[in-house]
Amino acid sequence: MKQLRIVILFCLVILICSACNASSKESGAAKVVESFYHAIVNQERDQVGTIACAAWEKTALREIDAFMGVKAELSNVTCSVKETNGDTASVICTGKIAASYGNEITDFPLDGRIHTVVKEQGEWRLCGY
Amino acid sequence: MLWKAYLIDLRIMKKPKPHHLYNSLILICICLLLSSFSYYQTAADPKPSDYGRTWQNLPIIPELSDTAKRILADGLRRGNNPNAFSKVGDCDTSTDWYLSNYDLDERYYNLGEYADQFRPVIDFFRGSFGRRSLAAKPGFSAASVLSNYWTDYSICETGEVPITCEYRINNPAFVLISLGTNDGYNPPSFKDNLRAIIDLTIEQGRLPILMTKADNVEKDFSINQDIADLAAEYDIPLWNFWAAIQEIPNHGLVEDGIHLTFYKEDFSDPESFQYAWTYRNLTAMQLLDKVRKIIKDISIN
Repeated sequence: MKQLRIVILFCLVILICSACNASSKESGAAKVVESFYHAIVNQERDQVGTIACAAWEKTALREIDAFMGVKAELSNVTCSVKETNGDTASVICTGKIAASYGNEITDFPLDGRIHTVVKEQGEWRLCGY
Repeated sequence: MLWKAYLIDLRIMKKPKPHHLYNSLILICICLLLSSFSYYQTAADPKPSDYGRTWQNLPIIPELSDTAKRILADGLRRGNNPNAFSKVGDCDTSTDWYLSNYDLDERYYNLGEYADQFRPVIDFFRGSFGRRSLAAKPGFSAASVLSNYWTDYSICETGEVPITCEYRINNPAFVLISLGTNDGYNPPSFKDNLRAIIDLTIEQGRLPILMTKADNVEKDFSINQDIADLAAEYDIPLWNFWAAIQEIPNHGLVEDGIHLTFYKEDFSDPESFQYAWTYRNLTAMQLLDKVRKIIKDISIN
C-alpha cells in the first residue's frame, strides 16, 4: 500500500512538472511576440536577431521601420498561445499599437492576427503572421 | 602577478612556434586574396553611387527615357488606366495642398500664364489630383508603404499592403513617389525599401517617378543620393524637386526644417514664387504634362 502511494505521488509530481514545463514553453512563444511589439514602439532594430526567425528577419526589420516616422506606444498588449504543434505555435494578442503624428492618432488593433512562432536552435522566434 | 603574465605573453610573441607562423601566413594570404577579389568586384561592376553623384545638378523635370516609355507602354497594354496616377508618400503627399485643388473648380486655383498648358493636363488626369491615396499618410516611411499594419482593411483585401491596395483600386499608369523624410533617422534601410517599392511598381507595368525631397534631416543628403541612384539604376524619371526650391527663402522650408512653405495656389501672383508649395505643384504639373503627351503618343501608336 505504501509503495502504491509513493508511485502515485511520483506520477503526480511528474505530471505537475511536465505541465509547468509546457506552460513555460508556451509563455516563451507568447513572450517573443510581445517583444516584437515592444521592439516596434521602441524602434529596437538591434533586437530583431533575438525575436524573428532567420527567414522572417528582413520583414521584421521592415515592420519596425514602418513605424519610424511616428511616435508609437502599446496599449494593453497581451499575447497568449492559441495552439502548439511540436516546434510551431500560433500566438494571438489583444490590445493595440497607438501611433501618433502631430495631432493625428492611428490605432492598430492586434486582435485577429495569428502570429506563427517557431523554435529555432531551441528558442522561440516569430516567423510571420 | 599581472606584469609577470604580460612578460610571458611577450615572450610567446617574440618566439612564435613554426606552425603558428605558417597559420599566420596562410591567413594573410587569404585576406590578400579576398581583398583583391573585392577590389576586382568594385572596379568591374558599376557602383550605384556613381550614377547620381551630381544629383543636385540634375534637371527639375526629367526627360522620359526609352525604358520609362517601355514601362508605360507595357502597363497600358496590360490594362493600366492611362488617365490615372497615384501618389505615394508622407504628410507632404497626403495633404490637400498637393495637386488636390485641380479636381475642384478654378475658384480654388489660378493657373496664370500656365493656363493653356495645364488645362489639358487637368482634363486628362481628372480624378487623380484629389484622390486620397491609400499609400500616402502622415508619418509614412518607405517601409510603411510595404507594411500591412498600415493597410486600410475597410477598403483593402487580406494580404494587401498600402501600395498594392492603392494600385489595385486606382490602377494607375504611373506613380509619383515622394518618400524619405521619415526615413531620415535610419538611412541604411531606406534604399532597400524604396527598391522594393520600385520593383513592385514596375512589375505591375506602372512607371515609378521618384522625387527628391526638400529637407536634409539626415544631414548628409544621403537619402536624396539614394533616390537619384535608384532612378539612374532603373532608368526611371527623377523629379528633382529639391533643385526647384534652392533659390527661395530658407530653401522653401518652414522653421522645423521639414515641411514646405505655403502660399495660396495662384501662379498669377509673383509673391507665390517665394514659397515651396507653388513649386511643388507647378513642377508636378509640368511633369504631368510631359507624361500625358507620352501616354497620348503611346495610345495613338
